[in-house]
Amino acid sequence: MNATPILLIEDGEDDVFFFQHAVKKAGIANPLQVAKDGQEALDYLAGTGKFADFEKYPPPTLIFLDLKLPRVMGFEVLRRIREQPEWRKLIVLVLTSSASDADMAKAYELGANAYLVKPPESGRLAVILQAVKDFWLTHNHTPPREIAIQ
Amino acid sequence: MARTGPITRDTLRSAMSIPARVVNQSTKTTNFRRNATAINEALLIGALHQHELTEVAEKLNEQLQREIAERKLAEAALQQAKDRLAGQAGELERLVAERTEKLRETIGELEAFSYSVAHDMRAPLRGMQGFATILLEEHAGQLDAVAHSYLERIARSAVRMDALIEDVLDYTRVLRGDARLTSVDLDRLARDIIATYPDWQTSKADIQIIGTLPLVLGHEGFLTQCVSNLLSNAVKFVAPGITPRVRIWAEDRPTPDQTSRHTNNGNGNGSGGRAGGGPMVRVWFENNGIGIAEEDHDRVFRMFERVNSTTDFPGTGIGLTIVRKAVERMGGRIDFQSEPGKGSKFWVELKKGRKTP
Repeated sequence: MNATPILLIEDGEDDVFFFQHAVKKAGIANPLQVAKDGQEALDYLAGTGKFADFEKYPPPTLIFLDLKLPRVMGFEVLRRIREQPEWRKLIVLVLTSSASDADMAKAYELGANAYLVKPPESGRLAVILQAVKDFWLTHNHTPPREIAIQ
Repeated sequence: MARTGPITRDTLRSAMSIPARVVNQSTKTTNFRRNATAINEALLIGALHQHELTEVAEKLNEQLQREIAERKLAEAALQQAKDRLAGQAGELERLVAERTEKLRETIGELEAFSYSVAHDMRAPLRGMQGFATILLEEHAGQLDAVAHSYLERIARSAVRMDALIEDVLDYTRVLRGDARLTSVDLDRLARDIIATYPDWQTSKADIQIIGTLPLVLGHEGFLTQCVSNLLSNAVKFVAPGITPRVRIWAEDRPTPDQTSRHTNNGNGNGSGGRAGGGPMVRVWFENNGIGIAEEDHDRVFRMFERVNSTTDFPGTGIGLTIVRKAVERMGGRIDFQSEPGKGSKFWVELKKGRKTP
């Protein structure tokens, strides 16, 4: 039985590649699912379209959300996640290039669980993911699954 | 008085003998004539007077008409002037609205630009740095020493470019960010900042706050920029092998002195807040660094200017520009005293804050 996946919502191919690389380096065992834009992310969560296979695309234990996304923007994804009773308890970590106060404030206002800035050095992404693994995947208790998802 | 009896000579005579009556009669007539003449004369004079009066009245009337006409002209001119003024005011208002709209547009574009810089321009740099690092780490066996060093340079350049972008973004934040001033506990803020940076811990640097720093009227974000930039400079610009030593303290400055060179030197929308007066406080940051030569005094605050080479002291050359702009936006001033080889004493002057309940 696979561990619950981590959902990365990210449109940059290179950033996806570095993330996968850092996930390996950090020794995170959870499978990684990728949504290439905001709409795909919402489809994944809803289990619609190409994500209809529930076994293959189970609800994520953690979501990494980029803010600048094609189609549906990151903030909109976050807003919809927090509006939907079945998704409301999902843990969403923002992972973005922007360290602007306005973006940070808005992310927390909309209910982000954490705000991470993509580091300029790829080595540091692994360090960040190591910390995420220790805290969010080890010490932290995620919301019970049947409540977190429809 | 009717006489009875026959009229006799006597009676006639007696009648005749009253000459006074006759005289009297004739005098009356004369008087009458004289009076008539007088009346005529008076009438004539009256008519003359009336004529004169009429003339005067006509003249007055004419004058009055003239004055009324003049007044009407003046009123019309006044109205015209008023209309013109109102028109000009309207024109001015339209112009102001137009310019404001343009300005808003520019600010909007600037914001979109910063947004794009923050979100998009850094991704390619992560790509450069990331792939170079992966090559270095995972394909090192296939690379000779020269290839290795080139890749390291690519990675370093990307990181440096990213630092530049981050600093420029910091600067634009200080430049156009919301600058509402409140009382900030500078002591707590500075101690928090010092505790955050690994390079500023006692093992690597000797940073001390002497006494307690006061409350200042400022902006937390701006103050954080100031303190962290001043400290990172203080720790960075030391001669090799020397442990950085920084002392921070504050002194009251009840009367602002006007001798500083870095107050209002034309750098845009800064230092307006000083006019308010009130007690000031000067916060000193003293270091044992390499110092700054007199001829470089003005360069250190200019954007992208660097007094030292990037090889000896890495940096973007924006730090002190950010600090100065932040200080200006808080209505304060900044300057320093320094001598090469003897360290520098930077000071920031700010309005004192008040304890809020």
